[in-house]
Amino acid sequence: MKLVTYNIQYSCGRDGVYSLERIAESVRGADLIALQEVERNWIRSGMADQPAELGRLLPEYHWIYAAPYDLDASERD
Amino acid sequence: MLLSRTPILTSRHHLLPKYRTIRHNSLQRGALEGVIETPAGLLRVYSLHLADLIAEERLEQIAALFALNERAVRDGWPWSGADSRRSELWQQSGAAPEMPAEAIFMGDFNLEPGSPEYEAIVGPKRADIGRILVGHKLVDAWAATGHGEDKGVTLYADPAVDAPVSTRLDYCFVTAGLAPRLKDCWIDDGAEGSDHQPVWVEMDL
Repeated sequence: MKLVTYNIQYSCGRDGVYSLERIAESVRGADLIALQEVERNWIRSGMADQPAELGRLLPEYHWIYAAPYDLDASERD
Repeated sequence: MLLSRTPILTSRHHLLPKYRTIRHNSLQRGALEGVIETPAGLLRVYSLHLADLIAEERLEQIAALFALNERAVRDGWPWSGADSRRSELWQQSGAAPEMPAEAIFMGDFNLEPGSPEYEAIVGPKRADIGRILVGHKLVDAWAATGHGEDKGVTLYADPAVDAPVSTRLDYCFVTAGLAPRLKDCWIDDGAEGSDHQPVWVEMDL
């Protein structure tokens, strides 16, 4: 069984380019993947829902996500 | 975030102690817990990220992780007991399985090998006999598979940013009972998707 842990820095690479595809390719093949610095609704990462996008990029996996905190977190229709 | 090829049977999020810094940016940290099924049985796994600024804060966070690990079997799953009343309102069926005593802690621990925080996790070292494996401490998968504790880099120094040295900050620690199952550990030096590198572990599970 293969495990991998990766702090993805909200998908911002060494070249400054944001790419969740690149992250997904780096961890694909592991049986268990632990990621850190995955975020939702941050301006720097284009307000993306990163856990949902990673789930779509890695459809063979079950996933769970929780953020330790949020800012300006309330919602209103 | 945790992703697993096998279903994640239950999960919860543990928030860790936090210091209120006055000038420097400090964040609430947490450890995401999941229980997965493996051929070797149920396994408790964590994805976590510890504080980057203050060693003392990290030591409190590590103490919190050890406390929850030692309580895990006693406390059980996030839910427990089979509710026979109004069972149509609840998704669980039957009693919760026993929480596995063995666990894997993976993440960015923001600490360096040889630091007091590292010692707090893996136990003491003596010059003549090396690291002393203590049953209630954790085992560093990297060191247990033949790598020097002080070797390996998971965060490269970037002169343009504030990281002063290249170092190993990302770890996979396992409870002592899982240590014999560790087969290999390697760092993917070629990954360019982040400022950190992925750390891989192969286990006989």
